[in-house]
Amino acid sequence: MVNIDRGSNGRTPRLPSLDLESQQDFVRGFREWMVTEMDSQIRVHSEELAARAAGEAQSANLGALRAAFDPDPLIATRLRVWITNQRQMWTGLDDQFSRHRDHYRDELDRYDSLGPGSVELDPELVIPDYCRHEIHIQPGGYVGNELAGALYHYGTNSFYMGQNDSDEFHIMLARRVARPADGHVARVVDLGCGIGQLSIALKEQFPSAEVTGIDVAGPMLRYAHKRAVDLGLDVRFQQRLAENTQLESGSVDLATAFILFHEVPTTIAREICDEVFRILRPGGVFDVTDFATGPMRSAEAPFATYRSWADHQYNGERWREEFVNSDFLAILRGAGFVAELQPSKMAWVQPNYVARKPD
Amino acid sequence: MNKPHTTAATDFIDHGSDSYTFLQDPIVDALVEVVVELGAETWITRRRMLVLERVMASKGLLAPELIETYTPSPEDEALWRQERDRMLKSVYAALARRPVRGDAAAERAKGAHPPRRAPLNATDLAARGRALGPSGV
Repeated sequence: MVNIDRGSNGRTPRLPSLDLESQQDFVRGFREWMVTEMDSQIRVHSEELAARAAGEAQSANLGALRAAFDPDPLIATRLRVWITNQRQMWTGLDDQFSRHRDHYRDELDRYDSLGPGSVELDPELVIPDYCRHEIHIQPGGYVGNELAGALYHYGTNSFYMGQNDSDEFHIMLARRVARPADGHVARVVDLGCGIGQLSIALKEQFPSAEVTGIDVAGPMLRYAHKRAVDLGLDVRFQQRLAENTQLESGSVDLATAFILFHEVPTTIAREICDEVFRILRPGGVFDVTDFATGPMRSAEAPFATYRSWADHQYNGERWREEFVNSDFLAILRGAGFVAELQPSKMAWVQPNYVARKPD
Repeated sequence: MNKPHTTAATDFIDHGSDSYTFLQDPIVDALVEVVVELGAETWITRRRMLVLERVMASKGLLAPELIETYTPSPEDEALWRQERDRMLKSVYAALARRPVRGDAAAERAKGAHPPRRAPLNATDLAARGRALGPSGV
């Protein structure tokens, strides 16, 4: 039985049926069991395998780790249940939302013209191939499914294991975001904003500022706008490329990018950094939260290195390996920023790169 | 899943995640998927029962302690034991079998002394029907 409107859970409408809600609850529970109970065994086991693979060397490289880990039954089972859990999450949501596609399509159509705030789609925008992948194996990815926003929202709620149902992580990020030294924040741009959770939290944090969320994915932006309207927040969402924002030079006080850079090739990452340097005013700040790169990974545990590769290989993270093997701090500095590392506000994604445009 | 979308959606690159094989054989991967799916189905049913009990209790239709303190009759016990054993046999059947590779089993069946079994007659079928329980198919 499907009710569609089952009330709200914090600031998120409840899923449209009890069975789907229970299925996603199982997904969350299984994921939690996997990363705690199962991984406690995997960590010990993988350390032993890695030590054997390294032999005389200090540590095994990815090739040696793969040779040791790929055929191992326990690790293969870990990959199997991880992908199964991920697919189960998406399939349950996709089945339900697709079955009621007309309802959700009508809802998005209606919200497109409502305020506060706006959503500006660009039908002429050429979507680059680099962002057409099914990121996180989400059906259709961010650009290829008109209901991508709802899928992403509820899927990531399960990924966060219920701890972000009211955007708690994004609100925390906005509260602790790096600010210009003079404290002046009148214009904020959130790059790769997706469904606008950080953009919305930034508007709540800086109510008098003009907040713009930019993303390449139209379906995600439409959902972002719908959420902002429901929350009564004036946020402008624009379908544009982060490497070509079309914003005026020196017009932005604060720019943010939350887990954007590992979803783009390094060449595009450089272009985005150049673009942000251009649009920031002197003294403006670029606050980036993303994975550790290059030199920062030297202390990484063997299974973490392998899991990062597996995420790239199997979970649609097309550009993750390229990103984590780059030196992102050097890329920021190469664009002209004075950049430093801060501890991330979130345990699972480290670190926080804070880049300031010199006065 | 790779359907055309009409509203602000465009072509995408299909990752083909439904065809990954991590274990020795694709069928083993499929079986693990089945096991995880069964876990989800079990929890979906159990959670609905929890909701049902709560709703009935809140409407005064059921006192939860009636469920917890219900004492099964001897007939209940006998029937439920049969149901429990049927479920155990059904779910864990694979663990009670001596694993034989598919090609080895086929060779054995084609060999000079293939294993023989008595024909399944009406009595066997009736016994199987009982083992399947009152609603078994």
